[in-house]
Amino acid sequence: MTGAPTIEVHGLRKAFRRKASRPGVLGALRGWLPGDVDVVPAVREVSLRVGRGELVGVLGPNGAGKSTTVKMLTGILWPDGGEARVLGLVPWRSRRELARRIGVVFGQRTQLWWDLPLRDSLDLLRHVYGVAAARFAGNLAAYGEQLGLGEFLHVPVRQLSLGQRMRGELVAALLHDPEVLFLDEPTIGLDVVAKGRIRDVLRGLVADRGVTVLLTTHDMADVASLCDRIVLIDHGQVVHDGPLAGVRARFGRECTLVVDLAEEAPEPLGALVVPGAREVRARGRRRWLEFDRSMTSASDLVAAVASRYPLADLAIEEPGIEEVIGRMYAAGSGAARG
Amino acid sequence: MSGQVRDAGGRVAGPVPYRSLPRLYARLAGATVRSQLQYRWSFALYALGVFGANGFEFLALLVLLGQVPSLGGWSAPEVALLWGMSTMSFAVAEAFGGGFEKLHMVVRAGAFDQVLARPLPVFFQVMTSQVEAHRAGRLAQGLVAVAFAVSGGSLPAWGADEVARLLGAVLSGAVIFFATFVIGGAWAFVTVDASEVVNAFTYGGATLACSPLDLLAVPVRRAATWVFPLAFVNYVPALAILHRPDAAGILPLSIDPSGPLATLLVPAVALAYLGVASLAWRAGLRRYQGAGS
Repeated sequence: MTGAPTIEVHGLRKAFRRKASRPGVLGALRGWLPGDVDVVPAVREVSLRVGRGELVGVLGPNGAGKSTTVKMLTGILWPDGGEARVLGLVPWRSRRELARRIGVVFGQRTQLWWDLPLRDSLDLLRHVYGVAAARFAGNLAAYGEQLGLGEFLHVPVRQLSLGQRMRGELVAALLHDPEVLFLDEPTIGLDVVAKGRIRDVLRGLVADRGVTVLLTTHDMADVASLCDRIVLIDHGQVVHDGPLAGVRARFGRECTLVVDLAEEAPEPLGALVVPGAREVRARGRRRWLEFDRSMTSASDLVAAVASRYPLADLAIEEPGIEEVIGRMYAAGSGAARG
Repeated sequence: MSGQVRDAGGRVAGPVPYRSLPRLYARLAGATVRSQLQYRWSFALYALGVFGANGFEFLALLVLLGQVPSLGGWSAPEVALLWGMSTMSFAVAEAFGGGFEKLHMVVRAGAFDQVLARPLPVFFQVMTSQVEAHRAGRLAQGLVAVAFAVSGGSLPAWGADEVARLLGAVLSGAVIFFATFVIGGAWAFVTVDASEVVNAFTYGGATLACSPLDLLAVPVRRAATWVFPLAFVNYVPALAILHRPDAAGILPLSIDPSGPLATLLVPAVALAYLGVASLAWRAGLRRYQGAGS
């Protein structure tokens, strides 16, 4: 990271105040009285530094505070407390100035004109963002080709498939050459081809143009193929921040040794005195032994098993990214609640 | 492009300048009209419906006035003038304020964040979000009503002075109705369920303004002056055009309704009310963004 970070967040907080909704007619009437308000904390304490050209995946269960954090960083919402600077600007104080330098894609929403051809929407956004004609034409040609917009540029947005629309949304967010891109679940519900195209474009933006990308997603394939770094938010707090490799090291230590025994053996296997290992499943001669790589090596475990039971075959399974993140969520919730 | 700062990459820095907003208004408003024209039949039927509903209202009024030579001292052409003024004001206000009227739907659908993600003033974006071309029919009806009133020949002399007064009154009235739409839009940030209450003031107000104000009960008159300045949409300016006394007692300190003070009072009230609306709007938006109060 050189110079000032592109995104700098310190102790950001935000709670929503909702009228308490109570059952029945009397409850509905009470809603008109002042004071009867529930305070729901959405973001408790988020701190973060992101350098230029980083591609950061923001993960967390639904309702963890990811979207609220993104909305504060784009100036849509004001925080209750804490500080943030994006490209040196305080987002909620310089909303319009910042908006011109960032791109925002909310996967569940559209910024396109629903009833007009995609091309018309892009043209309108060119004027909204004040993009010069030559720059617009260049970007539309480049991104349009990468994302294959040509075939449906003249189709009204409401008639586009979800995948086509999302490709359109991404181009719409890129026409003004944003320096930072905020993507909220951009690949949700898309097919493999559309996801692949969007990922290729994002990789290119980071590598060739030094764009900083903050991506919230539930798609583990996005995370595995795109993100250098993962920020896990849970219960409104950052519970993990680091490279994906580190996540594996921290939450992916539990591996599974699968053995096929050469002979019948008791279920479970008799006393295997190997620290950090336990038998988790058995089906005839096939046994699954889970072990913690930080406490024992695979070869020690294999040796220990083989010394008592002759082996016909063996395999070692590493946890998938999905499973690693699942464990991370579980650990995160525990930490936040505890 | 003076005043624009460009960075090394040739990007334009700073917010979109205010002077580019009028052209942007035309583009964005044009886009909403083109969107509506995508559904030709729906557009045609809706336009016909709006035209019909208003036209029948006017016809009913004409039938009534055909039977009763005067309505509490107001002749048929005079009532037609009141109706025409209010209708034209409302049509102009609706053309610019439709986005505020529909804002509760945008907020409810969660689509308002998208508005805040763009580099334009929020008020401006809402203004351009719903420009309905078929509202032009209402303006035409108002004109027809005024033409009917004037052509009868029973009104006082009709010259350049009266035309100027009429134009000023229609614009001031439009500002008053527009401000009402804005206040309604501000309410959408507080509760998305208030649209019927808002309608009572906008559409209800437009209907109420068709009756001569001095025929209404005193509390209603007071409310239509001091709470929601409906009296200044057509009643007060019409007094000057028609050389009538202020029978409703709207103007304070016995201001002469045909004098210069009353003439200035109408746009002044409209602008003051717009100021109130803009405060309400800012408060509503701050509430939505959670900016504290």
